[in-house]
Amino acid sequence: MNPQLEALIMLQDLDLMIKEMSDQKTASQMSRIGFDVEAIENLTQARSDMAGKIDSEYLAIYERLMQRYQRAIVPIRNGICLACFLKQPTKYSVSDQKVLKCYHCNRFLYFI
Amino acid sequence: MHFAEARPALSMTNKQLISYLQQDLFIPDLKASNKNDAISRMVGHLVEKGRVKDGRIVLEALKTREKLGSTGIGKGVALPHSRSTVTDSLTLLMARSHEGIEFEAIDEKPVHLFFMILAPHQEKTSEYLPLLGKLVEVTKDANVRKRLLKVPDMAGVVEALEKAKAK
Repeated sequence: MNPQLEALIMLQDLDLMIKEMSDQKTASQMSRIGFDVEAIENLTQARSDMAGKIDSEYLAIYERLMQRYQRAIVPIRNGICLACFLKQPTKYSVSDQKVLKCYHCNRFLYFI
Repeated sequence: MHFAEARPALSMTNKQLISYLQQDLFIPDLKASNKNDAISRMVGHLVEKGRVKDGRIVLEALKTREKLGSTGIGKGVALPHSRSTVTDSLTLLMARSHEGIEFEAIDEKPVHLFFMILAPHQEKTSEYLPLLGKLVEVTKDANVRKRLLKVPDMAGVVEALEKAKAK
């Protein structure tokens, strides 16, 4: 996998984890189960470190996509973007080492 | 919150918990030198068994989750868990260490029983938190922990969990 795409996915995982743990209902459920989730600041630091590993052009696109959608990086299967369900160019392949984006919704794509 | 005070947040039956166990996702004697090594080896097992394609991404998510607070809940039990973009189904792996592994658990004791849970960010059925809660509940029982430390294989794990008191 392209290292920039890998870093983008890690950043998305971090952002979604921060969002989930910042939700009072989820934090309360976690606490009731027995897990301490109060150290959110540790995640924001990790987020800042991860964002620093990503090219500014990709990061800017990612931030814009995250404002518009719940997820900026989505799976592609059988040539279909699994977010907008539209067909991608046939040249897109799993062996492609480039950072690919959906031709229609512009989200970043990863092969599953 | 301490292990002893923990309460399940959402309900799940023993049978539902058992349905998540898979024969090949059991490491009967995990060897690892520390917490990160233990998590890496469990993720390595998931990659080896074809459940995870991008191990580095999953590993990063699990290690990041630990920064929120250790998932070593005490009494020799740890439940490392995270959601990940590259996971498309709820996956449960069980590992056991006879020697015990230092995991920064809340009671500062070595961990012998590990239940690793991976989940997608969006689930068809919201069972990630109930599964976590159920595992906390069953492993609070000293008899269950004792049985799980002795069972030879996944069939034994299933039997031990079937015998756990249904709440």
